[in-house]
Amino acid sequence: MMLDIGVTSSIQRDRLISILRSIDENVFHCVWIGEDLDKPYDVFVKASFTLMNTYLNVGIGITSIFFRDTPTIARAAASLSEVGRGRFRLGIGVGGLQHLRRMGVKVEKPISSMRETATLLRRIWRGEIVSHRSSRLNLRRYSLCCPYSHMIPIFFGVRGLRLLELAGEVSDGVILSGPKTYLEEAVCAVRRGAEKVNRSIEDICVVVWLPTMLTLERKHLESARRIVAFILADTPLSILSLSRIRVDDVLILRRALAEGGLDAAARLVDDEMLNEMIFYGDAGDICNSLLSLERIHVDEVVYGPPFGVDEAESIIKVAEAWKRI
Amino acid sequence: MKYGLGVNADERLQDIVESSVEMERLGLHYIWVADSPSLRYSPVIASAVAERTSKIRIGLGLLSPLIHRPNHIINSLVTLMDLYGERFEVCIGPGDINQLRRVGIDVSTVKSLPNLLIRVREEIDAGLRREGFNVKVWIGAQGRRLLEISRFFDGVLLNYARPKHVEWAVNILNSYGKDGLYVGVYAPSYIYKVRDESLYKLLRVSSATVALGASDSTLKRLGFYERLRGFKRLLAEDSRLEDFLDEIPDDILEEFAICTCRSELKRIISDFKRLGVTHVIFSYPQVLSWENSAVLSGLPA
Repeated sequence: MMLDIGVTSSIQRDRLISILRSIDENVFHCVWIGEDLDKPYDVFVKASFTLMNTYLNVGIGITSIFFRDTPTIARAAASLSEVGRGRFRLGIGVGGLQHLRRMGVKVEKPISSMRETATLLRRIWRGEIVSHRSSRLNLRRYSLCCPYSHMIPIFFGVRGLRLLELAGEVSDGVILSGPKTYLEEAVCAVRRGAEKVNRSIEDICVVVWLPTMLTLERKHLESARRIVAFILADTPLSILSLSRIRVDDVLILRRALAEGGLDAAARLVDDEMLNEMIFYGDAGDICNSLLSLERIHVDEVVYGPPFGVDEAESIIKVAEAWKRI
Repeated sequence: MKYGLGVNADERLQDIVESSVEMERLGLHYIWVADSPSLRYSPVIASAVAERTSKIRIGLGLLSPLIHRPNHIINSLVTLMDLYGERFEVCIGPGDINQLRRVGIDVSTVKSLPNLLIRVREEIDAGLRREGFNVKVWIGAQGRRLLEISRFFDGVLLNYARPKHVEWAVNILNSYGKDGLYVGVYAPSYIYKVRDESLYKLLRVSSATVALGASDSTLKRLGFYERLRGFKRLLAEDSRLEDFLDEIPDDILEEFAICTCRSELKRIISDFKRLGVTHVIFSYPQVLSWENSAVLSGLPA
């Protein structure tokens, strides 16, 4: 199993540099950058900077296929693969529904759109002249004219079981997030999809990215509760119903978020929710918890954010514990 | 007069970056990173250039609001400036009609394009100010409609190469007057010491892209419409430029490119200067030859 590290596109330059400097490149395998849709940062530019400042793989995890058109995603990814000389990984997904709605972006037919996007991206990267017409796209003898040679791995960052099955059919990898008790069901769905097309789960790189926090004191978990409240507000109820989290409690939490803001919602995050949604404890606890996912065929686990009270120190401690274990 | 180099077509990324480093060393003021649906994503290329340079200004564009939402443009600029300092500028415009057609966008059906561009410029300005940045926003223009709205921008990049065409555009700019408007010439270029036919061939591709991307009214005014409309139709019918490039007359293509030796270039520059041009950007394929790009050092200020 590989250990990755995760940040978001809104991370400031100095903080990103500090994290990259703290990374032991013999321990970590990939830096994942999540796209913060409501902050004014370009995830592709952040990925480019990161590729130029580390020797690790760098992945976008994820960008929404409804936020940018397919040719733009294709050429941005091709540019990044050129910058990173083949170290770039592209994560695509539907994206945060609340954010997309606020930005006036319509989400229609997510399953066929994801299949269409993955297929077209590969054709464009292969250098084909592509003609294709659908409700979303109209490509007429389109091709990318920059020289290009690497095939970029496509990861699906999806949660619904049908989308996970599609990931098993067509993706190179899948990025899973959500309650821990749901993850096993999610991997099963990926496996089902893979088997439909005579692939195996071994052909798909399964990555799990959950918030992770190194802490020895419960008082430090307050910031973690805020993160959990935020995630629970955007997690579909169908996903929550596959976990130990009580859906009714989440509905109450969402009402508190709407009426009283994040602090009010965070106060309703109980220990059950915390345990389901976040890895925390000392460095050894965290590494053991992450490694326990190996039994459900997880290949890579992402550490962070919020990392810990002192980010850089936490990253170093987790890397040391990972090496020991 | 400020000078720059246009990049981002068929070059290797490594060559773009190394040329940019060399251009900074030679004292050029700008690298403009082109963008179109079939080219690399310009903000990523700009970051690769910025990572290895420290002073040279970097222009993004032309970025078409028909494929880049205003918040995408704002996000790219904010991220680049957060990472590399405030040395970025942006040029917006409709974009190459033939390239846009390849991704399903028919520019002729876009309602009130000038108003759209003015609105996008205002959104970019407001978005950047909110983040504490102030960036020069240029418009890429060729025809009368866009020249007339240039006063709403900090500068205008003219897609012309000949002083007589620039003069026509400058007269329109003057009649709609705005003090302090920067006027740039952005043209396919091949300035050489010794002419190389393979680079000249690439210049033809670049020049044909500009010529066939020009509006019908622009081509009629220049007197090229009748001789080019058949080629424009071929592109509209999804033929590819390379299928008929050799048939496009040289005399037309030369009108859309700066192709000359250094001594002749000085005369052209002096004509541009007389017309009030403040910036000259030597676009593709100039970047492909370092030896030839070195002739750009020491041009008159």
